[in-house]
Amino acid sequence: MNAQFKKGVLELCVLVLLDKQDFYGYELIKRITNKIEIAEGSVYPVLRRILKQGYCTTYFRESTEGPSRKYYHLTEEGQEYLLELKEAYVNFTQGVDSLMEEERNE
Amino acid sequence: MNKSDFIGELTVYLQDLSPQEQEEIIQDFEEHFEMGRAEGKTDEEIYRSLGSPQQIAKELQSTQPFAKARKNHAEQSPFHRIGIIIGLLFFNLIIVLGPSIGIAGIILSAWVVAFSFIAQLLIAIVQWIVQPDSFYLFELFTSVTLTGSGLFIFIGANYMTNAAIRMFSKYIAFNVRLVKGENHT
Repeated sequence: MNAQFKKGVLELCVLVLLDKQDFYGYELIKRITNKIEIAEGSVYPVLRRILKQGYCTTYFRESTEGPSRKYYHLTEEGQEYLLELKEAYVNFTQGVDSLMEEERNE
Repeated sequence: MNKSDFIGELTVYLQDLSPQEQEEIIQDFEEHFEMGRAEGKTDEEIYRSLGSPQQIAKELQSTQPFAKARKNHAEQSPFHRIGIIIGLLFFNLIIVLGPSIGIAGIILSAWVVAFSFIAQLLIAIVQWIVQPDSFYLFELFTSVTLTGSGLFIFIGANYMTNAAIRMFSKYIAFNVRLVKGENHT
């Protein structure tokens, strides 16, 4: 798969999950890898990128087992960005779907 | 392949990032290994599902292209910039100016030739109207041939002018880029 495309989709997955609740990195990765096959390490660059762009913030919270965990929280800008991304994704997949439909009918 | 192998390899590829940035990234991955271990996974398994450290480092570096570009830009001192301006000035005066004037001259003369070749037919026609007894078929053929070549030279001159303008604006843009210190694109 095209690296740029994969990056975009992965970003969308991360934002969609963070939109519902705050996650720490490992948990977020588990949620994604349960559904789609990716290199787990590639989620961290996505998290850093959205953090730098101000789409999310981080905070530490103690956990009962082990060291404190770094949680990611979606900001308002992140929510707006997610809406844009969702729309772009839907348009894109609809386009691909209709192309495949045409191919089948020929 | 265990945790320290992974972290070590990742650190090598992250040399371009700031120390603080490196530390944060390493911390994230250390945390990741800890969590995996807590789930009963071996380092080997965690390492394999993370993917190649080189690939991850590449993706991490591409998270900050803008910050880097700005940094390069600012690194150029005013003296450096003045040096470039003076250098360009002399280079343009001594090396570029002469040939440029030469090329402009060639283009200008092509225009002049094209117009006079075309114009001579009109003059000849006017002359034949005023003095019909001076008409020779041979002269008409010569005139028409000259006009034809004039039209060709006209097309050529037009093409050359456009090419020269394009080159000139590209060269100006190149000069501006040099002075501003943007080496890319």
